[in-house]
Amino acid sequence: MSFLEIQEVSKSYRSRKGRQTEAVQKVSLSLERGRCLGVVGESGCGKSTLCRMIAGVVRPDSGEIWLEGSSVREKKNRKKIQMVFQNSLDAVNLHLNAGRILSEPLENFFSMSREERRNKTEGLLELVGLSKEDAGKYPKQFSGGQLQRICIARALAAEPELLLLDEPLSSLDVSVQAQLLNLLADLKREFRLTGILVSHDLEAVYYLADELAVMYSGALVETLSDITALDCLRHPYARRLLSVHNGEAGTEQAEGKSLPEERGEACVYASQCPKADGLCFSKSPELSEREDGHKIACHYI
Amino acid sequence: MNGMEPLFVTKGLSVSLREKGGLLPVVFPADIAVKAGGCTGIVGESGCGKSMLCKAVLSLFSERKWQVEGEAFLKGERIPLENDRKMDEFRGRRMSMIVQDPLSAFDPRMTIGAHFLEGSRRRERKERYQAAVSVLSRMALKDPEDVMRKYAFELSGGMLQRALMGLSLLGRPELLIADEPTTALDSTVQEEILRLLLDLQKETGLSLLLISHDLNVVSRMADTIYVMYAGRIVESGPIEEVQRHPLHPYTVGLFASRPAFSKERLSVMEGRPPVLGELLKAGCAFAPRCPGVKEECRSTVPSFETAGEGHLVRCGQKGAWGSHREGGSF
Repeated sequence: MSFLEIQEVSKSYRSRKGRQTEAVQKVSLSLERGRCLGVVGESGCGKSTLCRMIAGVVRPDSGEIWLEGSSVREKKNRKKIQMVFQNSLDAVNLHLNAGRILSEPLENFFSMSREERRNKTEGLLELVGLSKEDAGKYPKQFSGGQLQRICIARALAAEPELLLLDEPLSSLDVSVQAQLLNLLADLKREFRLTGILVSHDLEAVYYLADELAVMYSGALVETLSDITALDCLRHPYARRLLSVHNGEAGTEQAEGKSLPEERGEACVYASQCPKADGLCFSKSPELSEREDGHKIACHYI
Repeated sequence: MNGMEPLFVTKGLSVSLREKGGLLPVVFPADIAVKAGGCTGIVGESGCGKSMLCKAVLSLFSERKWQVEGEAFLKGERIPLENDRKMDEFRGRRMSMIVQDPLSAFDPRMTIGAHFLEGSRRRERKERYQAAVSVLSRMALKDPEDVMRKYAFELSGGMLQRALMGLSLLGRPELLIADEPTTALDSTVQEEILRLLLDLQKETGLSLLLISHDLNVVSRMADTIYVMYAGRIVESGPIEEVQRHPLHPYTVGLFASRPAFSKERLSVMEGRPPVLGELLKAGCAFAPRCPGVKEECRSTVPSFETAGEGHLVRCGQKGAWGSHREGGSF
């Protein structure tokens, strides 16, 4: 069994009118220790839900997620899995200063004297490129990039074995994004972190991740165990995503935007796919291994 | 600009915030130009004043809080920025704007269609409705009449942005100001919107003033680029020229900040852009972050000087650091 093993997890949300949205459908993944997986897809494709299920804060409807053989929902795994969120201002308590924000996980997971805790928070601040004096500042006094650094430091304070990054860069400016990308790359190398990076930015994912998973409408459509082989992507959605990022024009796309209410067994991409035919609308393709470390969910590839 | 008279120009347009202690500059006097049928891009990070410049062009500020100085011309005609009533002739008719967050651009209590009909006289309604349907179908919305019956919250981000584009193009403007039109959208939808804008330009000769923080977007769309930093334009010129030989260290840094599908370590600009209150400090605003900073940079604000054919740069070292840089590293 791998370090992280996701077995056919599904999650659906029900609206007040009783309509069911399948946020994640039968997703299976595994990740070895020390690797970083990038998950890409558009908004609403279920990538954040998947992330929350791995963190153990959302209970899957079916399926199970294992970290080193034990369920991620077990209490002992709380320390091992830490998360960084997209909107850093929502992710921290605005009434606590940076020092208190960083000492919270230390109080929860370690028995430390006050002195040790202070040293540790100062060390953490320096680790993410801030200074000791910043410990007394409150979240509103930091810029977006600095606050995101604090969130990263807070996640690292618990000395996690798995770090989940849910769109950590998307609300930041380009030059600040570049600073944080470098910081994350350094931390990853230094601590040999196992990580999952959820993002819509394929370029950033390419920079940080070792492996890639492409999601569409709640399902995995393609996975690649070596992200540098990006050009091998073959699923029509993955190709489209790639061509957009490369600035290529002329990707074919089928007419029609709306999915039928009852999708039934159709392929998740069928209504958007230029090559879709009867089979695609009646049977959803399995994610199957085509080459070593390369899985695709499509009937015609 | 190859002898051709630009469609839209600003001359020394500046924006300041009225504070108790005096005026706080937000945008320093800026000269920008948009060619007829062309696209001019303004790039910069949040807080650099790029959106403020656009708002000033449409005179969307309240006089009490903001002071706008300088002039703007559309087809050689002076835009009456100071006269709200006379601006009505320009706003929405000859110049219109699309914004980053289309959801906030629509009134949540009105259907999309009601926005199109707003302000029309009863006898004009039918005609206006037909015009709305045709402009919306041009925006590649499949069922425009259905869209018009809906409220803003019922539509997806991409559809809303199309509806907003339809609304702003209804009056057949000569200039469309697009303030981060695709920032809130998914990359595939972004691509569709950009392509639609390009098609519209080709078909109707629409001129575009595009504001974005995304260099990829601007370099795809624009023929001319203006780079803004801390309220000032620091570099401008034809897009290919600026892309090939960026001179200002900030422009160089911006181009180097994207990983561009490599795993090589990014060369980053340390620090952060100055915030509003810090803009009045002496010297070049980029000096604290600049790798090629010299002593005089900290005392005098550099002037905007020609560095090549239509290529201007505001750098005390005349972009010397940028042009002598080895092989793209920052």
